[in-house]
Amino acid sequence: MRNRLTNLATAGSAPGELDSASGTGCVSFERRLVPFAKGDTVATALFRAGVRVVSRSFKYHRPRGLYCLTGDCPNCLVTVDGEPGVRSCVTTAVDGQRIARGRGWPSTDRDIFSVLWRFRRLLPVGFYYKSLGRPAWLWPRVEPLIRALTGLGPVETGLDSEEREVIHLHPDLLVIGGGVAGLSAASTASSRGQSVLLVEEGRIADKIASADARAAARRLHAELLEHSDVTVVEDAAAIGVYDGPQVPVDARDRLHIVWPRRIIVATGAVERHPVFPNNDLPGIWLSRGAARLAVVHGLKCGERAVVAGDAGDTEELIQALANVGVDVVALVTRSAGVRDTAAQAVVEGRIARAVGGKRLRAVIVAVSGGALRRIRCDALVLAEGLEPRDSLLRQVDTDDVTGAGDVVAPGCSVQEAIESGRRAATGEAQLKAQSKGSNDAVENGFVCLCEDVAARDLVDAWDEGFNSTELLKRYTTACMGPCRGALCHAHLRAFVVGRAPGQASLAAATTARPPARPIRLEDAAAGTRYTLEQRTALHDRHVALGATMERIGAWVRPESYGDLENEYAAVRERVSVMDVGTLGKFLLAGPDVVEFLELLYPCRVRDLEAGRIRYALLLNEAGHVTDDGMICALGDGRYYLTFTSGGAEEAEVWIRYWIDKLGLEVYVINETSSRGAINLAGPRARDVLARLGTIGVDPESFPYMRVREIVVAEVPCIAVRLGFVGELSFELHHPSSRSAELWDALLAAGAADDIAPHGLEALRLLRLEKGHIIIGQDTDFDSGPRNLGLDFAVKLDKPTFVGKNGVLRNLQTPLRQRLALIRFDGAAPPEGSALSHNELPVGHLTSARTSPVLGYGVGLGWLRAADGLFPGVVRCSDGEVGHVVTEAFYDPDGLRLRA
Amino acid sequence: MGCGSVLELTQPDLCVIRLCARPAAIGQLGRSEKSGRIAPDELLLLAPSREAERVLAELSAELERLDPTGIVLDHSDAFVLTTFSDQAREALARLTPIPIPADGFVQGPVAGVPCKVFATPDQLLLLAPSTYAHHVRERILTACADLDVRERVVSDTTSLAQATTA
Repeated sequence: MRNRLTNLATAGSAPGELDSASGTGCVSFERRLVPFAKGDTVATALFRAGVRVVSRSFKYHRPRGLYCLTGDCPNCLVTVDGEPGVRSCVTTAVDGQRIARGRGWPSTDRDIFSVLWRFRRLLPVGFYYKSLGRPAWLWPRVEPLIRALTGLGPVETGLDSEEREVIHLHPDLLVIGGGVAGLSAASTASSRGQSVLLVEEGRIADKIASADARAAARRLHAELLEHSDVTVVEDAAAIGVYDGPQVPVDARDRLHIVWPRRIIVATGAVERHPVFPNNDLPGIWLSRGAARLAVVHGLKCGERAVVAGDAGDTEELIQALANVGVDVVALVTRSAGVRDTAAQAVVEGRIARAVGGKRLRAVIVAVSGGALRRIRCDALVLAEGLEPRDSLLRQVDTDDVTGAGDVVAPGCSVQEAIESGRRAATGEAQLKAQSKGSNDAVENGFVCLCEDVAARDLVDAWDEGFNSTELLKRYTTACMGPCRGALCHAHLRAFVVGRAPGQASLAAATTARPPARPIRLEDAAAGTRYTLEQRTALHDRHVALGATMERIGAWVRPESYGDLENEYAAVRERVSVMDVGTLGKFLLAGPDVVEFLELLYPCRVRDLEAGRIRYALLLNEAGHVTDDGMICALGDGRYYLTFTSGGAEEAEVWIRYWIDKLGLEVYVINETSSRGAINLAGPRARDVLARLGTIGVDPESFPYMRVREIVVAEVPCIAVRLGFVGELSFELHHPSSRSAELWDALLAAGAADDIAPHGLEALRLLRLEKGHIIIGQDTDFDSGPRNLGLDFAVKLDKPTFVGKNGVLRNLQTPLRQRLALIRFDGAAPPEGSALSHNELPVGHLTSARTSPVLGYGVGLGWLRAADGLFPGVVRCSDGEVGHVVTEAFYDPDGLRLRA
Repeated sequence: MGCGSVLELTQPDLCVIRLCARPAAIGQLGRSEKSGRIAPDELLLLAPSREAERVLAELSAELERLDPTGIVLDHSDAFVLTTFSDQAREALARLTPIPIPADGFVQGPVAGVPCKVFATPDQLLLLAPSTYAHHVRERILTACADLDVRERVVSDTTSLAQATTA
């Protein structure tokens, strides 16, 4: 197995420089300024400044130093500009950045909580489930302490949140990873005429240490850019693979949401993380990290280094270390008979343990034959092979997603990577290499650096019965930290194989889950931080009149125009207009329209003559009221339906659902946007229409509960005579492009009658005086027609309608609660007030206002029956006494609205 | 058309005609207007505003013959029409997850609102509910702030290839 470290010493960039180099400057690090060199990441800047303990471990607060330098381990996580959990080894240093280490008290360097390691026997996996559950008061007291001691550092609050946008992309192929295999796959697919998007979390070829591989990548990249319909996005990390497939990619400028037909994952390999006691000490490096530090940044990983690995794979590594002045005192290898090496000595054996406190002081080597040999050193560089970086690949199991290169064949050669990419692009079978994690360590070496899970913890968990990779993962939380199993997943599988040989299903790869790379919550929410806003065509008119606008769902509507009394009085005494363009409005026709409406509504429709309208409830299958509105028979088999402003969208879904379900030929046109509606209401409404030259609105030709097509101020209208506010009213439904024209004409014509528009607040009072309900405010999810006193709108002698069975079922049970009209002796209590009778709670108030014209409070409220009887008198929580009445408070005979 | 590095938004002078009828009847309509099939029994047609009455009359006559129960009406007020030129596809990709074809008709959420899109290789015509006109415009301007947006109202153009099929 090769580590791709060939020709490291001549790998292109001069020390301290990168192709994608940043400038120089200083970062602010824990109250001091730290200068950085061109090309430095935050991690290398700190290392250059002598910082060796970069973080403290999650559970035991053990000191941790730089380890992989490829973004795969948790050791370098720091807080950057208030953002915790930033992978500093892949974060470019920028002048002025504020860097802080997350954990440790009084400091990360000197953390007294590192004493926890001494008590590790008392703190096995799951110790708090076992020891802190009882007594019950214990856990709530201990939990804050545990939370304070763990985590990735404090979250800085009060930071400005950045509003990010998204872009949706639909390539034929998404290639994740801009290494040799990924570029080869992209190039192959593109040359076959496919549109290709390639995303690379760094810069193309930037992280490739091998000169051969880097040259191949650059050549393939240049070739790729000559193809058409290819997009390459750098500094873009794929977060996860979701159903679709859909892949969110966190790029610099915006979140890319990619909807590809196929995905090729070419995320390469991560170096194997050997497990032995003290394998987490600062000073222990994975070979790519040490090599990158030397070759790219010109830094020494230590003064005296021991290199562990196969002689052939480490030759260039040792040379690279030597080039920056590292004294490589020994090569520890399992191979026998190695002579030709640049290291000062060759030791046949394996690393048995590391020695040190806050940093490495020596390694103990188990030499062939069983003896132990101590070698003094301050750096241990591990080159023990590769494991696939496959967390994205493990998130899904479909043919749409395949791997290429190291991720399926770790350690493949450049030519093999090119071939692998080509095969992935053409859909040919891949060569697969099985990962081989070490399972020979069962001591306290750390398997999972993120969660501080040691090999001993796996043994304990296994002995407790967690006998598969999935169970071990869940119980120990190995693979669930920031590195998403990059370092420990292979160990977990190898451990299970060692414990249960021959039972492959127990050692199956665990399912990985997003995010594969850390993502800020505000980035995950990119493109969603807006609120839908729906306006009628008269919005600007309302604003110009000084209206206070209110959001009702997505609609923005006038609450009041500033003089509520006058708005109310205009309706009751003179004439007023209200913008009711928010109502749901639908035109229905088609061969089966009558049959459909008979099935949809609980009222009769077939007998509704042209020019007539009918109040109708919309019921769900349970017989509960979901909306209400009007059915207007326009003639010629056409029906104009209205619904409440908030219920229109759901009503359309409901209508179309039933048309489809019943297989009927019914045509539906949603006219909510295309038609505005203005309710002209008040005793002088007819006079206003007359002034505008409208004919056919006299009581005989256009009586109450009728619909007519009339022309008002040259605007064609479907006019509906209703009485929601309890006065003579003409609801004028018209083309919305002419709303302003009609509104202006009505106001001008009504000026002689001192017309004034009214808003929602006046409407709430006006309708309450008439006892009309508002669906959603006065109703609940299980309100039936009987509870609401709307039995008249349900014709049970109809053969069937949606909700009929529910209504019949409800009739079998006694009426336990109902909505009642309540007249108060004094002013209306607050809405929502509790209602009681004989000191016992009996319900609550859903609507209440004090009526100016009646001089007392009026309300609607839910009442519960006691012993089969509903109370006639109730007391409100504020002491106000209310009387249950049975007819409308205002104009109970409806004489005014029928005028 | 703009100069290639801007996003040009125009409001074309087109009318939108909606027709509902039996699928077979819709299939027999031999119209040259640019159209989108919203549903098997529903068709949306574009025509220059000045020709709206003529097109409506012709369609009514055809419906009378093919499916007298069908409906056809001028539904222009239901929508606000915006033509995207130049960086049109880049702009719309920021607003919608739906794939936009090189040439054709699609419908789906744009800026969170149910919309319809007529696409040609050069332009995209977005039909958004008129009640959401303000919201959609705000979203376009916010999401495409870096695209140098230029807005104009076109009084005498049909654009989108004259709103007729070739």
